[in-house]
Amino acid sequence: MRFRAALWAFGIAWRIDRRILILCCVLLSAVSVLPAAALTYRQKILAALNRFLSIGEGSMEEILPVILLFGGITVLAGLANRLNDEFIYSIMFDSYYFGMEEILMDSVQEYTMEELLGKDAKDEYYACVMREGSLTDFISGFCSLLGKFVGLVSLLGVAFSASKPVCAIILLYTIGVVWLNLLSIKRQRSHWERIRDKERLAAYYEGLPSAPDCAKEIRIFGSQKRILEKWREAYGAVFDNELKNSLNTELRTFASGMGFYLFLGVMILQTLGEVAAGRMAAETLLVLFTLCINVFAAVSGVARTLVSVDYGLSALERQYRVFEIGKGRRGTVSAETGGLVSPKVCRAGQGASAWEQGSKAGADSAEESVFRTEGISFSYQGDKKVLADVSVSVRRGETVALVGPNGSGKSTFVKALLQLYRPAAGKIYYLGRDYEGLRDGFLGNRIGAFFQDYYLFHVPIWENIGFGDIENVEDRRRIQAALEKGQAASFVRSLPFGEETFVHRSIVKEGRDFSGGEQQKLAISRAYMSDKDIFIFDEPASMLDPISELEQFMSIRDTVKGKTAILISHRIGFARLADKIIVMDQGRVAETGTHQELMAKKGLYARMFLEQAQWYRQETEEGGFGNAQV
Amino acid sequence: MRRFKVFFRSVRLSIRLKSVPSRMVSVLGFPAAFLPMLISLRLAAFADSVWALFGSSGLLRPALLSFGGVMLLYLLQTLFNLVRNFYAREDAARIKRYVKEETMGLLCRIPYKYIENFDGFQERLAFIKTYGGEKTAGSISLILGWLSRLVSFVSVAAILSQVSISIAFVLIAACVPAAVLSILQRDETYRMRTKWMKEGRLTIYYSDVCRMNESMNEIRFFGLYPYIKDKWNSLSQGYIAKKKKIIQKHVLYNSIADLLRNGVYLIVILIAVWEIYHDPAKGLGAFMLVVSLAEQLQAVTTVLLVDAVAIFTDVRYMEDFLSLLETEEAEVSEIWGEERGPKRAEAQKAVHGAERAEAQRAAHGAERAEAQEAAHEPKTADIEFRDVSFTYPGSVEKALDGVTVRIRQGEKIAVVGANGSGKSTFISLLCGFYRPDSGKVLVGGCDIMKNETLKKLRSSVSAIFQTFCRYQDTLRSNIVLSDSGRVNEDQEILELARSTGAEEAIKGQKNALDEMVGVFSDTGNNLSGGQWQKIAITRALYRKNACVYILDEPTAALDPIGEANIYRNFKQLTGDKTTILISHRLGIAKVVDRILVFNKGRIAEDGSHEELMEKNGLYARMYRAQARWYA
Repeated sequence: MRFRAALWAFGIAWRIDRRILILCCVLLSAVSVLPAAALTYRQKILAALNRFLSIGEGSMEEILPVILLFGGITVLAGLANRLNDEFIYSIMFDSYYFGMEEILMDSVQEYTMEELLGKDAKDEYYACVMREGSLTDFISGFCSLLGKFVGLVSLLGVAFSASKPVCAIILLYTIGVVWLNLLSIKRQRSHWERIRDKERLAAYYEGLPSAPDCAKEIRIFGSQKRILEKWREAYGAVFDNELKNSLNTELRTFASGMGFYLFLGVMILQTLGEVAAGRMAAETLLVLFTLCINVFAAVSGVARTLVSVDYGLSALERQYRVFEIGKGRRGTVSAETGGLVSPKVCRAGQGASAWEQGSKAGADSAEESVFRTEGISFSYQGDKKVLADVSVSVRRGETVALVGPNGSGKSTFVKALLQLYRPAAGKIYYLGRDYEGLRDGFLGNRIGAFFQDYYLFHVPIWENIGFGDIENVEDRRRIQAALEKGQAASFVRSLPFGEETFVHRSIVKEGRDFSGGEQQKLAISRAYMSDKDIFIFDEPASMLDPISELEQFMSIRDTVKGKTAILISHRIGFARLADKIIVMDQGRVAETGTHQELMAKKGLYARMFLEQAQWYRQETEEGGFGNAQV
Repeated sequence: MRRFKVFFRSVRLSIRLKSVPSRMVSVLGFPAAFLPMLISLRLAAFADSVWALFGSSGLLRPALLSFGGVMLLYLLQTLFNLVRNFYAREDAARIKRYVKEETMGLLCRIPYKYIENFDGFQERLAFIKTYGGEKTAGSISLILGWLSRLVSFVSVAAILSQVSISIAFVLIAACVPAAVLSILQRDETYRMRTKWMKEGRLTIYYSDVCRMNESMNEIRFFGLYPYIKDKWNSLSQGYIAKKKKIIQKHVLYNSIADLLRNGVYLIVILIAVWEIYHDPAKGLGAFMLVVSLAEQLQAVTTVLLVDAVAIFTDVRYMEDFLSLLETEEAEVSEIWGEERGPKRAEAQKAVHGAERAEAQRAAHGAERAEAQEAAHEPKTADIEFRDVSFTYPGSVEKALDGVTVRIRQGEKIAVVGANGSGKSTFISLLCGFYRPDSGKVLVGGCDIMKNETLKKLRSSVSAIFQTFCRYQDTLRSNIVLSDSGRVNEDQEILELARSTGAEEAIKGQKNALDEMVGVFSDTGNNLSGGQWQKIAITRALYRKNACVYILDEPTAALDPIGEANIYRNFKQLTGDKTTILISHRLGIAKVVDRILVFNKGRIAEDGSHEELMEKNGLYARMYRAQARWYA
């Protein structure tokens, strides 16, 4: 698993930018040999000096080339290190960081939304998505390990030529240190796993004071103390863990240091004996000594590098498991169910399938029902069903009101119709065609949709609206028309920068924070982009004042005339705009009919209607539904 | 001079942050600074004795002894490195924690407008948090590190100049250009960092938008991903390209400096060798000594010069950080003078120097005296707006335009009006989130922009805002958060929950009130929008000692039955408290005493439902617009 994840990571790195990977590996390996080379020249210089001092042989001219070579190597090593540390590393960092971010962004799109609903899947997913630095950590750590390895091997080579026992001692020491570090890495990893939840919790509390809604409550309820307490509690664990890890790492470094001096002592004692016995030259001993110091320098960094490599690798393993293996599994599933088009293969308008072509040519008109569901069920988690065996159909040109208490499954049902959630059981048909055969985003061009939990992007107003039809995102005429229908045109016009105004001001501070009602109008306008034939509105007026509410519903009524629409609202009086009312309760269809039929039935709908109507009772004689004038 | 003061303040702050052992280790750094020099000396002696041994004129014993000396010094150094590195990490962790905690505290204290990114506050904060806080909190380590390096420098330079004064001079001189280059680059980095903050955050935003839950519906349904990704791509490519250019320049300059330094090193070796050939008495040890000292001197000189400048240039970051604490404090103290705990007062004293605290105390004293003089103790909770006008920062239109109104204690008020007519602004000003541009907001006759009053006001108000908070915590915490000082009783909470309708959200849970809800729940237990809103209403009403309830669209997410339930229990829920309710659901008119109709920042109508219907104005029009659906 670990090995495969590492291979996968190299594959990615190779794809993202192979030049930098090769360059980094080659350069680092080359640079790592230089200290050993410098050492041999240093030995030559010392030998010459020694010879001169002991027997008066030789002259400066003789060793001048050696000194120059030695100097040249030092200069080269310095330059290469600089290039490597500052330039190549930073290019690699950027290229792999953004590259991994891109891969994560892409991978996320492979997921279906319902896959992300379960608690475990969601946690796992966010743990993956938040670690875009994994590849950088791993590859840069790996390269530096490679460099260290080459450096060590070359130093060992020098040692081998000078004294075999010393070489053996160094080898033993190196193996010992690496083994020690590998052992502790396992422990470290389980620390990370355990502390992850606390980290998330701490991050959550850390973010509360800067979230506007919460910031208000803090100021009114004086709850900062409690929030800070909660943060301290969560962060305390993270902090302690960090200290513990630091201590462990430093102790390991210390232990390998102590071990080193032990080996150095043994080695020097052994070689001193040799020198005393005249079997070894003095300069050899001095060079061996310097060599040991170099080995120590090379090995001591290994602890930290290994930690960094493993930190990257642990995240990569998870990413590999979640995205790669997951992708394979999903791929086979969709093959088994025999989807017409592999859902992810073609997206956003490229490569329309034969059926799409056909449908445009007029196959649409053959089918009476625009949406038809057959016994669909859905649950967010466990066995608590949000939708249970729902079968309805929405005919062409029909306006359907969907009403029901909180949590009765209306929004979920609509999301299933919008191709966002795939039901666990049952079938959905669009113009008689099974959803399984539709490619992702197919309905996006055909349905104008407003989500109850809509999202406004931190981009200019025009772009936010244009997103309703991404192929015409820059068509200002269509955007203007959509703003008119969404009742947003008048307040947008009054802005100093009009449609160019940024929504929100979190980053672009020239932006504007719109009121709840204004935001809702903007989001509704998006649904009107490019005159579609089908509309779905989920609570389109919950934040609007009574007049705007009326205008909004009137605009909806006018727009959907002759088209197909589904309307959800707690303002239950507006259900009367519909040709048909579907009442949902606890995930099931409880009642279906027109307003008159359902009132006569005296069921859930009648109860809800009367509950709301009683507050308006005294005025009912004035102006009835139908002759609405504002 | 100002720089010096800033630096001094930073150092005091950073000393406080260190643990006691860490401070001791810092002091130990001074004797430890001699170690490299001592090691070089011992090494030279060792080389000499080995040479002597080889030349068979020496004995094994002195060689062993000098080797023992070297080993002892190495061991000392390793031991010191252990404690130093550990405490450096501890310092770093403490600094990180301090900066986080301080930022959180700041965000809880500062006037609310900054949360809405007034004056680009969020970018400033993000920048300062990343660069300023750590520099400030770590300033003592910087200065101590520099001083101990100075010790190393002096000792190494002294020894080396004994061997050869020209070598020492050449080495030091060669480091100057390198240092100058790094200094120039620091300036550039600072400018780049400040400049690139926005682009960097936008890049992050675009990639987040593709991955986060909130935006996933839109990204998927409208097929926005390729478009957003394109934007992300061009932003990040631009970022990388610019960064690359700057780095290229850095590397070029630094390489020239390296070339110079290493060239000089070569010259030093040549001189050392030449001297040995001309004066063999110097011995092999001298050569070893010169080479190792030269290496050390070069390293330490460059760092010394660069750090000296770093200390001065980093003062900029430190000043940013301190000024953030300071300027906001000034505004805060205007409003929240007394709210700071003893710990904060202490921190402030440490940070701002005694004279500042003195001045502030004096200012508070004067204010208090004035307050007593005017008998500012609110007697009733009457709320009064006197000709209040307000314009949002960056906006041209007035959100409130000369609003004058008086709300008597215990009144039940409905605030209605078109979107953007100023209803929510009215409430924000009443809560003191913004300061009126002109006019006054008074509670019990006192201006709420005075510390005492605002503090009192906030402790006697409870509220549910349009976008309420969904605390990812237990149900109990969600409710009692509004009054966490009070001992909470299950029965009381449950009773309250029954009348708000939140009971069904609680009853369905395995652990009842202690059930975790939201993302941190083990089972991924989440509430529906309507349930969250009922919990938020319960939270607002749980604050029993409040005398004003502010309810901004409390039923927007509720179904007709839940909404009717709130209306039915309205009198019982709000008791004798002054209640201000914003709603677009005009059915609420039946349960309130008085209705304020806002239009374009002014109060257009004011009266009971009957009066306003009779008047047949804006309110009557709105009411009929809604009522006609229920004929």
